[in-house]
Amino acid sequence: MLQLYTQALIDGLLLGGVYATVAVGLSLCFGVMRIVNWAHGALLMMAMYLTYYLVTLAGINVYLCCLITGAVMFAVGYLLQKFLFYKLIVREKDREPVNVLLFTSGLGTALTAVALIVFGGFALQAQTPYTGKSLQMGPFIISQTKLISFVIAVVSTLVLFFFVKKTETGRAMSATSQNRTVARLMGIHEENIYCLAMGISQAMVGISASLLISFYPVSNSVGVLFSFKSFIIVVLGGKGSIMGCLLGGLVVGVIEKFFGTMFNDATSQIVLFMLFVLILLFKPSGILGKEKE
Amino acid sequence: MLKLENIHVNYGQFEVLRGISLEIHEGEIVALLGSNGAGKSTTINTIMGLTQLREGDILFNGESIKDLRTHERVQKGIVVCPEGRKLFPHMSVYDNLLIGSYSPHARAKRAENLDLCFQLFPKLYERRNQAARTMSGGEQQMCAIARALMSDPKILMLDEPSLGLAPVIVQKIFDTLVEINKKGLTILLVEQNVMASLEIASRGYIIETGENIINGEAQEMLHSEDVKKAYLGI
Repeated sequence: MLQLYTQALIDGLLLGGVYATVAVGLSLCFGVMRIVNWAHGALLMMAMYLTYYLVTLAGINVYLCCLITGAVMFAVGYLLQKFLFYKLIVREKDREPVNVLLFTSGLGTALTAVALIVFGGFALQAQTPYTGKSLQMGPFIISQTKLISFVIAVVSTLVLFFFVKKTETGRAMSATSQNRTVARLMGIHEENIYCLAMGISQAMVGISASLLISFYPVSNSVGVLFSFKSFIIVVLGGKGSIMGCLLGGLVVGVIEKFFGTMFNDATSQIVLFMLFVLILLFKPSGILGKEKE
Repeated sequence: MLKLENIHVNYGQFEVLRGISLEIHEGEIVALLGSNGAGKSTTINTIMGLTQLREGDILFNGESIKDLRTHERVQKGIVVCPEGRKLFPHMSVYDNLLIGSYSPHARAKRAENLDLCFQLFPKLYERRNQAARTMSGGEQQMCAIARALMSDPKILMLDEPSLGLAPVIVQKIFDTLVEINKKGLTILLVEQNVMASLEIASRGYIIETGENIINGEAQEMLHSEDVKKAYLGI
């Protein structure tokens, strides 16, 4: 019994690390731009299809794909922001980007439909040299793909954390997230920072897509699933907080595996949403979120 | 150095500025005075490009800057210390100062300006690793002024630096303004505190409901019956 739950804990933590990397991009663009990106999961799905074909057709190592999908998705995010989202934001006077929210929700739905037509409705599982291999640690089994993905995911998230804390551009991003108008008075070019933030947000999506594909089959329903998971993680950890996101990801991963083992997957989803609602009601700033002044 | 020519600004249908003109020469301290809602902050925001100019022009060293974006104006050396300090509350004092020097030209002079700020405000050096929101009002105002100085301004505009501070702190801050002005920095001081401002300014402008009312030499204004009646409550 104890062994079973310890195993669930290990699996949950490994999975949660990757979830955190998926969600951290959503958190970043919410923090900096107040954009709730409903297309987040759908963009992840597209990046997963991209990795699938890079691995399957071009035979590229799945972890090397991180670099490719990261770069491609950075460009996608940057251009989306520059030519679509920013134009919508500027038009809205009070800068609560409601139109952007509606737009991303439409984009998400459209991408999901496109995926259904182009890639079909069935799940695709990439075959990598690591798939199905595992390490035996005493009584516990550790999936090799999940372990490698976990390590890369956590390292990427930490790199992002130090980028935001320690670089000029990162500081400008967190200044913008704390007060947009004053950030402009500091000489920060708002449009530029927005484009970079969305680019980085999507780069993290690209990286996590490659990390997921090694053990998670992609289908056109992945988008909605991961959008919701990411929202739960972001709310749990605190909107805009990177470390909160990492923690939130681990919590969601562990709850998912724990209740999945104890009962079933449906139960774990119910528990997650109940937690989501409770956090929103009683601690809306999240576990590590900062209180609004 | 900075010249506003008959500027008009609307918030929707409502005319907030109805033809404000003012001029600040290099090396001066000019006071822009007026009661609450007179349009002082809007004037500052318009100089910074945060509000849309409907009519008129803004010249900086003879060049029109009205089509420049906010960050481009900052790069020209037009810097504001905003009303209510507006520090980045979750950042340390040090990080707030670093953000002040974000523009490329200010980044090049970061070390030099940082020395100046810590010399003007030794308290900030003691508190450099503290989160900005945990400091007292006076310290926050000093930090806001220091952050503006980090932007390496040619002209520094201060929006209500005395707001909510004890008279003794206000005196200290105004003394510091005189000190940095003596180092050659041009200052536009926007205040409700008419008396204290005119004492350190060389010239003053009083505006009311978006229009120029009185302007002149600060010393003359201090002794003018009109000013006394309207703004000093004497």
